[in-house]
Amino acid sequence: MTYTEILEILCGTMTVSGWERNAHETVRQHFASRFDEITSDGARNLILLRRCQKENAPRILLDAHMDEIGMMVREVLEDGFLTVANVGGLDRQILPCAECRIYGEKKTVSGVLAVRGISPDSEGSKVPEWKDLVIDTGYTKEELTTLGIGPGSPVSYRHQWTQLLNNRITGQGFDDKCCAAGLLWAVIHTPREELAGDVYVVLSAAEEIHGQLTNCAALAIQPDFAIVTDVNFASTPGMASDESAPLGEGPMTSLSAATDRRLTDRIIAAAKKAEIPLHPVVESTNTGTNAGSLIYANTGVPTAVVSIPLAGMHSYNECLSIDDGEAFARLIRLCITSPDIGTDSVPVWEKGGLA
Amino acid sequence: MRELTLLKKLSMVFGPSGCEDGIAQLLRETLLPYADAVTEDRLGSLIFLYKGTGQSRKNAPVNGRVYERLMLAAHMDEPGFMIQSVDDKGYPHPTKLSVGDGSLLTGRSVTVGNGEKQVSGYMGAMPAHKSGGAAKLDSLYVDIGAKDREEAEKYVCPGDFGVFRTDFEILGSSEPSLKGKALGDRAGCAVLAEVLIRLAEAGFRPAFDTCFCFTRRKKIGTSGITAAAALVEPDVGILLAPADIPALSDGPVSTGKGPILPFIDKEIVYDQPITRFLLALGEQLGIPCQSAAAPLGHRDGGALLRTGKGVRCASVSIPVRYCQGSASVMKQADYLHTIELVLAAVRQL
Repeated sequence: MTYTEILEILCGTMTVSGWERNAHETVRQHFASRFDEITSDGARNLILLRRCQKENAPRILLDAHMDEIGMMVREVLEDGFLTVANVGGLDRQILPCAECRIYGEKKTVSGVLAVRGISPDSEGSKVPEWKDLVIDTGYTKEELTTLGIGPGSPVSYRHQWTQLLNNRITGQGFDDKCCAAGLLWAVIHTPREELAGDVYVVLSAAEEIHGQLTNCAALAIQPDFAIVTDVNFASTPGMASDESAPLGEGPMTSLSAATDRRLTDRIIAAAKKAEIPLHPVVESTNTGTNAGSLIYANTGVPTAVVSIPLAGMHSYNECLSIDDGEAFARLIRLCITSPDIGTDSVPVWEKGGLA
Repeated sequence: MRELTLLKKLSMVFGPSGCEDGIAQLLRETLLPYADAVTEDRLGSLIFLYKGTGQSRKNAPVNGRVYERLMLAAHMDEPGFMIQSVDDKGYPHPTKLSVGDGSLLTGRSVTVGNGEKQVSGYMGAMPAHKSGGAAKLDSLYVDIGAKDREEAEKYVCPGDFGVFRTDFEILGSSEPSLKGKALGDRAGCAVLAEVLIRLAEAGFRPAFDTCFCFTRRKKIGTSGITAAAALVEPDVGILLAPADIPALSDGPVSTGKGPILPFIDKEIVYDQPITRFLLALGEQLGIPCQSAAAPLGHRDGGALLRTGKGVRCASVSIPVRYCQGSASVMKQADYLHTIELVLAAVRQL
């Protein structure tokens, strides 16, 4: 399976925060044969384990969040319009006329977002309040109820997977499925005997609304070290060059006080040796990823962050370079096959310790 | 249904103001078999002639006077932007053509190019995490995936155009809506095209010589309708135009209640006898219609009125939601009823 094929499989399933279990069946269906164990936990994380079958092997946790931003239906109005609330960080000023999909229990339908009582103007529209944003569905209230659409139904943008020049693609939900696809690719393309440890891929839940749920998985896994993977900013017009990386020139890693610097440095050195391009970016105190909480899990988890640059993050179209996704996947494979990447992370008492 | 396929095809064509050749070409191919003559005037309006019997009928609103020619007009252009520049990193930057509001463009799927070739992209902006303010047009850029200026300019150059890229889709079930780009604009074209096809297929000859005019550049002000009218010299004109209706509007007109017959607009009081004749025709045939006494914001009527020796004008407006945005929505019934009303008007005027 190619990186792109895996990404397409993951993006074909709606996983607005809270609905991550939608993807669990899809992942099991396509990848069950490649892992030794797959389990989901009470926090809606999906954990996939591939063992290296070596004695006292380190446990490596690889995290990518499975959820995506979206909306939730609040109320079905008399004439078939829906009021909505945000799930995660949507920019409401760009929502008028945005196309969306509403996931009913019986059917998924298309809709168009609109502002109550106001026609979008060719210039100078005001930023709408959430209470004024409605979805135009074309259905009657009764029909919507019959389709199982009502308060709590999830809503996502309408996907438009489009190929641009230079192996770039646009679509939606790439945050963070492009990393999840890279993790799955790396593990299924590594022969068991080459693994440097037991690899636990955590497809985590609810990163877009509060994060921290990878910690629940970490309690069960007790990892020796972790790599949190998420998207980061691509260099687009207006973006500072020292907080972003150009599309198509390789993945990124975070230099941060909130991550483990030694682990990060070893990943950078390994990438350099293997000639995989890797852009370090300074995120001094906050990487904006699950790493922020994961380092506090258990007795502390040495954690590094590796990212794929993404343009249009949280926008109607997100854009990434397939080349970056593939380089990211090769880098992850390098990390899980290099025995020296996760060294000196286990606390050892020197004079007998507590006991 | 043929009329839905026609609207879908017209909706999908690339045709912002000043770049309407693609849509003109499609209309020419579609309607040539049905028309008696076709021409393109000096401003590019496409005009089809369907000959009448030359006898005006009794009880028609213009009866008793010597009138010879009816002009039906709709505009071909759609909401769009122009490419102002292409930067060194390969990003084309937009400037206002008919869409100038950054929030309607941000993140949207777009097609950029010119009459000959187009390329897919999306409208990029600073992500919401970093922007901290309104999406202004001058901070937007188009991403087509190009790696530098040289590569980008193989596909798109300053002065080229851009439009939204939106699938045509039917929404809903029992009272279906139609969703797509440019529906406010292309529905008028589709209505006129369908009326001409139905007249020709039925072999029906109206009293008037009837000219079906498809004009350009309406969305940046007045279309080329005055030049078309100077060529056609109509006695009576009926303009097809969209009425932009907000979601959950409690205004006097709405979607789903049929075509709108306005009494006034910018710079014009529409011809009362013809407008009232159209309303009566709707009532007589059971076609729902709405009258409106508030201007909808179109300038073509006022311009046509003053052309040549003067033209008696009426307007048939099609209610459409979100005309200016990436996805407009209209009720299928409104579209079909507008076709029926205009067809009946041509047959009975």
